[in-house]
Amino acid sequence: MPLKKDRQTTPIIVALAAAMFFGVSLFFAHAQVSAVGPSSDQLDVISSSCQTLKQNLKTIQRTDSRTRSYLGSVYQTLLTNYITPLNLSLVKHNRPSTTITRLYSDILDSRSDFAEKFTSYSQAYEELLNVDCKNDSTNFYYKLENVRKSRVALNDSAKHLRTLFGNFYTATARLKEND
Amino acid sequence: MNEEGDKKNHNLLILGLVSTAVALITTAVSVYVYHASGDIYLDRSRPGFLPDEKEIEKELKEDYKFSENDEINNDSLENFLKNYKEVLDDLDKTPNPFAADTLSNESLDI
Repeated sequence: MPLKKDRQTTPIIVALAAAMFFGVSLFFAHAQVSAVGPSSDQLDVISSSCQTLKQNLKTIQRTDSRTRSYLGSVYQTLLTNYITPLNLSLVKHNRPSTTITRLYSDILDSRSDFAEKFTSYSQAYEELLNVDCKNDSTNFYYKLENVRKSRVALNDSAKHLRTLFGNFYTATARLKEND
Repeated sequence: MNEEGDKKNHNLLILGLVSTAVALITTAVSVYVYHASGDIYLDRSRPGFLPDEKEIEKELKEDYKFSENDEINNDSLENFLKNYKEVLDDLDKTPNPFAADTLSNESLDI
């Protein structure tokens, strides 16, 4: 017995097909935008000012290293002088706080994540600096894109850690209010 | 025979002195290059490493430390929060420590 066409289902099918068409079009449009590479002008600039470009990148690399060192010491200070002893004191004086314990764990995880992201970023950076930008400007540009992505992830990680430290402050302030 | 022995000792002495001099010179050059090139800052990624003299001013005040033996009361928490806030304020001086625009095409003149 053949299927009878239902007048109500036909518009639904058409609407679904249209939605799929637009969805797929949007996907490929986005993919095309993401895949856009450097222009020939940009490649020329990279090739001609390779030495200056690398010098600037090395300067940025050193600044990043100082920043990393500074942030590392701040994170260590917060953990060693504040967060860990407070957490231990709460347990010792029989006043455990699930919020503070959870935040402590999140901070430790986030700090490890930050350290890993910095390592990945540094490795990507070293790969970039090892490329001969004068003769291989295309590869240099794509490596630069990788470094940029790593840098965004690293910055997000640092900002997330700052948020957690802020949340810890709030949780401790609440603890004080309840005291 | 004595002359031969003297000569050997003399040569040995010269060898020792030259080796020491070469070692000292190469070490001095390495340390100079290590500082001048900025590579020292790459090694400084390890937290807690001894800071350079001019960076001491930037070092955080580490006088305050909450002890796990401290009582949890209003005063101790007040003190904790006050000092903790100071460290957070210091951290907030670099809200975007690895800002994306540093490596933008505009910044790098690409």
